Amino acid sequence: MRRDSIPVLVSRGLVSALETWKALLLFLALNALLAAAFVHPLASALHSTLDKSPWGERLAGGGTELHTFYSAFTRTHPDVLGDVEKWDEAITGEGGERGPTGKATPLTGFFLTAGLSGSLVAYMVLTAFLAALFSGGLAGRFGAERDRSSLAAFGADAARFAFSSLVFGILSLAGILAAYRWVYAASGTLYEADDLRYEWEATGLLLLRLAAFLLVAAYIRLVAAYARAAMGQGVANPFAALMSGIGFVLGHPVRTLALEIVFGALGLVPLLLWAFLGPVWKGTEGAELALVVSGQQLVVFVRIVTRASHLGAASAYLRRTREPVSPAPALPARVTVEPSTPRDPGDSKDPAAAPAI
Amino acid sequence: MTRPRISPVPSTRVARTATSAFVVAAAAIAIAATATALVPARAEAGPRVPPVASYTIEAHVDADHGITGKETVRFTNRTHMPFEDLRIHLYLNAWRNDRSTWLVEQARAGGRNDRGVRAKDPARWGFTEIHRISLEDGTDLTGALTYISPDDGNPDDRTLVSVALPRPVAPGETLVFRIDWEGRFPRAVARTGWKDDYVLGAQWFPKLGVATDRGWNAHQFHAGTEFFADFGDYDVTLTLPKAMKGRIGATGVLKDESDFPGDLVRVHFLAEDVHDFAFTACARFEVVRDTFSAPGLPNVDVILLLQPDHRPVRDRYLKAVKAALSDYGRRYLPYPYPVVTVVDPPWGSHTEGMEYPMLFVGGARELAPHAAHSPESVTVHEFGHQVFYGMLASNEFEEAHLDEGFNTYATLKTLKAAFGDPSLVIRFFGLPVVFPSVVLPYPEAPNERFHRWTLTSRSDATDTPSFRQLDGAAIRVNAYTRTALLLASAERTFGEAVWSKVMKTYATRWAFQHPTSADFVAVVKEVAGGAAADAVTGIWSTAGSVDYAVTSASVRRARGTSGYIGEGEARAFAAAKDDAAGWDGFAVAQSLGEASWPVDVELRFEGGARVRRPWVAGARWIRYRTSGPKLLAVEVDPDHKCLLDSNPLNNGRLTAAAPAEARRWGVRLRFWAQNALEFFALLGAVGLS
Repeated sequence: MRRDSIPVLVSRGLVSALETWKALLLFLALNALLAAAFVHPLASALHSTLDKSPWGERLAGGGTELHTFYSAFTRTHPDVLGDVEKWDEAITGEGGERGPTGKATPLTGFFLTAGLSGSLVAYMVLTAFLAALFSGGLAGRFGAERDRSSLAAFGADAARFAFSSLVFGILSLAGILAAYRWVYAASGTLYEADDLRYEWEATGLLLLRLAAFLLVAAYIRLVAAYARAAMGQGVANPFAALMSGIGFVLGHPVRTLALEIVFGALGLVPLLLWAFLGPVWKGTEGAELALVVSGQQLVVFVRIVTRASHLGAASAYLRRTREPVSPAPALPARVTVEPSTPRDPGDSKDPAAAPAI
Repeated sequence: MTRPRISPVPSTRVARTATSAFVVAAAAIAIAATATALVPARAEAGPRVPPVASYTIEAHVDADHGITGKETVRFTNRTHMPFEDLRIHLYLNAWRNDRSTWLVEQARAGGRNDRGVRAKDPARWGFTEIHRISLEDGTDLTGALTYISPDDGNPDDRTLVSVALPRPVAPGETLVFRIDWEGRFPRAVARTGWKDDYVLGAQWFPKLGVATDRGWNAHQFHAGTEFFADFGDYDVTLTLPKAMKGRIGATGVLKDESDFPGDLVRVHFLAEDVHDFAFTACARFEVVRDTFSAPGLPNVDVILLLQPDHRPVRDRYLKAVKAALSDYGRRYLPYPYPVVTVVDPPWGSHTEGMEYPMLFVGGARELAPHAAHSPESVTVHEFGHQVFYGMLASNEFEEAHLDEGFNTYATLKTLKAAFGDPSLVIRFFGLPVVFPSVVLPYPEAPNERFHRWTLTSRSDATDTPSFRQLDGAAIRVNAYTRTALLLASAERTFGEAVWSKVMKTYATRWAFQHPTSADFVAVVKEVAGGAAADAVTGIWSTAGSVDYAVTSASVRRARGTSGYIGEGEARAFAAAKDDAAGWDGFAVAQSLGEASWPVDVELRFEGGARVRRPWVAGARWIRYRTSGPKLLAVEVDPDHKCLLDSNPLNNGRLTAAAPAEARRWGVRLRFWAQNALEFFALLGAVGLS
């Protein structure tokens, strides 16, 4: 198997990531803290609504009550969830506002929504910022020749590469949002879906636009990843690292994309498994709670590991393509000397032993 | 000026109309008494509704969606007052230009989607123009034609005209007049017009208003309301491009279809006892024929005009329309016509979900999971209009709720009986994903819009004339959801048997007679009693919401008396002590909304005891004090009979906190928030995880 084959790179990435388990646990803790802070207003509203209400018992019974509760809760607490429809539109691709010309105006007001919907935007930016910041630490670890698995080394690398990594993160974030706006959304204004003859044409175009956006977004993130990998391997100039990343991704478009897809799928597997098979806590037993929360954190941790693994794999891939080729054994030089004046034959016993002019 | 001749029409129709009033009255009484038995018989016996406005139309629709037509209208004045003019709707002028009342209202969010109309594309606009109007004897009335705007005074609106008559039409007289007109269908908007090779011809011909004892009831075309018309017979001959041959559907029964010079096809339809005529044609239609047959109900031919890309839902359409024929036939009125045509419109046509006599438009998606109940829901709903819009034919301009609200209530009952509750289906980039565990219960889920509206607007009561209400949201809420929830709440509150009788009595008594809200309330009072009638009028007459709440509930150990006890020498001071044998309970329930509904209040006690008390009529609040077993909970409307309550979450209160459910959801939400944040990390760093 080739040293830069996908399975080898994936394995290498996973091993590298697991070697940084302390840093990844730090990510998990930060993630949990941010999530708790983010959900707090909603959790509080649920407590104030349900704790002294017969609805708690009703919801536990399942059935049709969940929808009735959800719809009543969202309309009576509009300030808690905010304008969920904006997220609906972004996630489902359905709906969307239209301007005076009848054209879709995607993302209109998206960043100004209130409640949890609005704060999710802020948390999104904060998370992306932290991920970018800490990616420098991971890049330093993965690009180092010697062991730098301690948290101290990780912190030092994160600080050392903070500027470059943040630049890459900002470029990545801006690039992805721009791709959404100009590749996915803007392409939707070029035609009127209702004027197409068949629905499958509209759906096909919608999926094509989505695929185009995802492809562009994937390559933007790949450039950022390989730029970070190059940075971790000693390319100190951020611009040079970025160019290195661009060059590398352009030079290996298929395999880098394949790595992206593989790690993406690996990250989704535990989430899907938990969604379909995960236990549900009934809200009473403490021991059950510990089990459920542990399982949940394991799922998130695995997802964090796969994210870090991608950088590890990128670093390994970059390094392996840069390793110098072993020099081939030198061929003996053959030199024929034909002096105009015959020399003494004893001057040289082996004319090939030393080059001569 | 030649004196116009206004005389009874010498035809068999006149012979029928000239029959003594006794025949008409006898027929009405007979309908009211035994509709179930009569209507099947009626379907075989032929027309029985005295026609007021009958039309003979010959029209040509060209490939560019232009219309040229001639119609002869026979108007019989069956009121007690003379009419000095005619009021004629020209509905297609709603899309003549952007100054029309329809488009002005639509532009201020008053109505339906108008994406089909584009300013720079003349083919997307529509109009109707009367070239000549004359009486049967040739008297030209064209010069007497005036555009009028009785609703909003809009001088640019051309959807209603008045034509002064040389002599009033006296009660009992019949006036015959003829109109030559030209028109153009718009790119389909508000359920009329064309898209590609499809056309839905609705509101397409000059149409008489409704003659009432208070004069003409004729309104301009509004964005948020629909129509009102008198019953009559329609004899319509159409010529269309030949590509449509065999793929044309319309109100009525197809009598003839033949080739016509000029690469055209000529079709002839007859419809009796209807108040409108619509047609459709599409070169792509696949024609599916079936027959509905059920014990005690008349047989009905079902014609489904299906788009080829919707073949997978063909049987679902048929099953839904048969379920509706059966359920509506038993609960309200049997379908009295020999045929019903179901139109499956093409993608993006903006004609989905609309009703016309003997023909309605459904709507389907190419990927249509069963759990979404589509096309079932739109099929049942639009068929249901055959009863409330088609046969009862109330005034949709002024009392839209008598059609839409009643039909929404009826639709959800039929859907629940035939198909159960749907599940949540979300389309991700056009691809549907079913969430079977999230059930959307009928009738609550489809009527959620009402509760959201009551939180933000409350602009109009239902009994405000529909076309005068603030905007499209107010009209829709009052017309559809408030009334649907009102009827469903009444059914739960006053009993299903009683309410079924109310609905059946109303439908049979008022079929083909344009009933009003007052007529319905009278039936409610007669069948279900005064309290029920008061409840209905109470909801219809307020813009506010119903909202009952338990605002406090608490318990404490029962205590003996504190303070001085006895008098004189027997007076003694007593210190209170907790009495381990019992509890005192305190609760306050309030009516926070402007409207009320007859509800019960339940008090639940430790040990399983439950006590119910009716809400004291007119009370804004009630204080409860209990003693004995420990009070656990107080709940208003514990059986959730009042679906109008805008906030059911505050209806009950426990005396002790039970935080388990909120905790459970908190744990879940935190986990999914963690995953959402981890997803967002990809924006700043690598990994699609």
